[in-house]
Amino acid sequence: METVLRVIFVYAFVWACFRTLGKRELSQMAPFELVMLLLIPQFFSRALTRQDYSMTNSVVAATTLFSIVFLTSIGSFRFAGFRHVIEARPTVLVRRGELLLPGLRRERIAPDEIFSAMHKAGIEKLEDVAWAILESDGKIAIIRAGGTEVHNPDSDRGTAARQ
Amino acid sequence: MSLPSPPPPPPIDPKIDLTWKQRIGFPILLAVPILALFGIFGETRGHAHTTSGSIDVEVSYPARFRYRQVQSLRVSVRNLSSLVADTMKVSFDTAYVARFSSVRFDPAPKSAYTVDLTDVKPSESRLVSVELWGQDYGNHRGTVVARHGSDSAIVHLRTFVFP
Repeated sequence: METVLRVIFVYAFVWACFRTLGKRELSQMAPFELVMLLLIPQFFSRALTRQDYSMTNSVVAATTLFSIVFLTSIGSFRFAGFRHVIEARPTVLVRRGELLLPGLRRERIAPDEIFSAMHKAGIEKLEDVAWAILESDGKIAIIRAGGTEVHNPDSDRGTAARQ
Repeated sequence: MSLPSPPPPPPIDPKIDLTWKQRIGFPILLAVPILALFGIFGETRGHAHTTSGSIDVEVSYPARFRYRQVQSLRVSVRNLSSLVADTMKVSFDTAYVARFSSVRFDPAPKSAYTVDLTDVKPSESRLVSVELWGQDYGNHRGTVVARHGSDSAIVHLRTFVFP
């Protein structure tokens, strides 16, 4: 019983932490940030298992986590309000060639990072960008002026900013 | 005219449509943590009591516990006669005890899994405690026998160790 409650608590705690940090931390991380992220399971593993290394405990913990993920996906699809609580909303960073400072400041995105994403999308000038949007998953989507959507699979802002 | 944000996606009927595999699998997945919340996979204790002639035996034993967890088996023996019992013997089923590891008796047994209780006064109760470490998973059955003279009280035990 305690394992189920502990898994639910850890899920909610990690979710709250990432929602607090914002979309920026969801994107591709620098090696140092990645190492920091990998420490999180180390912190929680003992609290979750409590020296109980039985298969039963592991199965209970895993099924609890899978159930939460599945229920969350159903709730997110079914109810828009719930989806907006669970997932971050996209943030518009560029509109019609104009940098939108409130969005950039809120998401802590430097203009260099926008330009890096533009270059990867094959766009040279800011005036050629209709929309640049920081999506819920932390990636920057670029839409070219004139209505042509640019397919930019590597438009992850973290990767773009550090290359 | 500039738009405040890109056009939103068209609304759809958010009806959940699960595949037959999900219809079967998800209730099973969800059942595990729900059953765990009700303590199905948790540790429970069993109690047994019997009286035979001058001996009263009360046993508290682990009915269910998990692999590599420690539980105690407690046997309380009471002298119902009006005379001092020189020696009361409490024997534990070898087949039962052998299913556990790191077994520790208190008081220590004189011979294999038999504890002698000496000079037990009338109406006096003595406690024999055995620490069991779940090693072999599955259902384990055994007996605890308390003897004094021609009287013998038998208590049947059943312990299930989760894998």
